Amino acid sequence: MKCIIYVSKVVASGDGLVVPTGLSQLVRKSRRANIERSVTGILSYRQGHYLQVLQGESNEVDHLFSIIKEDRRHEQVTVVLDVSISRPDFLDWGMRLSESVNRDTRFVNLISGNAASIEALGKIEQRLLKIFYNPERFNSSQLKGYQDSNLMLLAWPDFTLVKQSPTVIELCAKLTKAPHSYNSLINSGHFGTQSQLDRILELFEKMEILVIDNSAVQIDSPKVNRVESVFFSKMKKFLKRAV
Amino acid sequence: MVYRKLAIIGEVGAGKTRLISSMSEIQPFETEAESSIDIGKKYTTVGIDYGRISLSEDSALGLYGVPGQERYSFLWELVKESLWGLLVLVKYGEEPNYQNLNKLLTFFEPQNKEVACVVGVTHCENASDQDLTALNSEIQAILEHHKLVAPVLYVDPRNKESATSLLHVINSINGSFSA
Repeated sequence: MKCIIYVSKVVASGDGLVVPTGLSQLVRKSRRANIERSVTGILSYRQGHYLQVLQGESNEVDHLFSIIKEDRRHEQVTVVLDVSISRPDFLDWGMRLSESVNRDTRFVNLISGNAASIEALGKIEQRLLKIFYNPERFNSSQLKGYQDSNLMLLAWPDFTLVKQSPTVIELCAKLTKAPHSYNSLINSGHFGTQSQLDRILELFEKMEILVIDNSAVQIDSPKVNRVESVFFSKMKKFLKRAV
Repeated sequence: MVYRKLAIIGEVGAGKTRLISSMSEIQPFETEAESSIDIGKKYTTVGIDYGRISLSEDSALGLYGVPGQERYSFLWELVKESLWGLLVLVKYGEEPNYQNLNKLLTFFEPQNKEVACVVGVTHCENASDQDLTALNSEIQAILEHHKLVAPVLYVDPRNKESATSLLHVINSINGSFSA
């Protein structure tokens, strides 16, 4: 059996647009095809690039990879790992789409188990892998917690992974707009108890969208103009009545 | 009188007309016509759908459903001023026209004009989480292209609660400075 990990670049359209068009189709298709071939692994998209892990019988993986290389939806297919394995790591989940391999224990174990091969990679291959896997990318809260830190979201979460509830929506709206101190979020009382808020923030951390700033600089919330604020309050009242 | 607009833009069958019907306090003004080609439904919007929500005696939100295809961009002109929010509807199960979506976001410039923007995925009740995650990645890529930080939400336009929750999201984005 073998394992191939490759990184490739999404082909930009004529107007310079880089979108992984057909990713949803690809996921469905590869799920079916890979079950037939018993090839399992991970597919991930980030910053205009794909990363895919393919594991299975050597001839099946090589055959599939030769087809993948010819697909016109991507280019510059670069192998970052090509090794023999005794058993597949992702047998129970087929071909799964992962938004953050950086936080995926099985992927992380696969990389650390092949540390020597990864360290021997050239600069280009290292840089490509770093788009997806960079243990130093974010400050982890695991040791310190969120107390006294300022928090911001780089993007809205994938709502298949976190509940689309009014509390989560309001929290995301705040944190995508500007950094807020963790203490002010707790004190506002809008986001449940401390442990409930921590659970949501931990999910955001796993998705790699939460930025934690521990510099302890107090942040003031910016203000909106009065007309906007009045409209906001009236809409809020209307929505309360509508529930 | 403070009057703001919510532009609801999406391709044929995305659920614009239904969504406005679920949210509006007045009988929506619909400009639908019988489709001459097979688009999966008998009637389709050929112009603007209009609905309204009164917030008080002197404040109201107008709901404007506008086709997403570029050939209707003259209708985009009619709704681009005084925008309270931009809601882009994407129908799950059909590959979205990203070139069109790109043109639409270029036209409305929600990131430069600080207009709250939300993407609503419809017809996704039976979709698997993996399929929705993939669609989310595709849509987020085009939002990133426009340096736009906006949520991709799952919505049922037939359901009043689900439709109204979109107003809650847009209001939260607009009001997130004031709390």
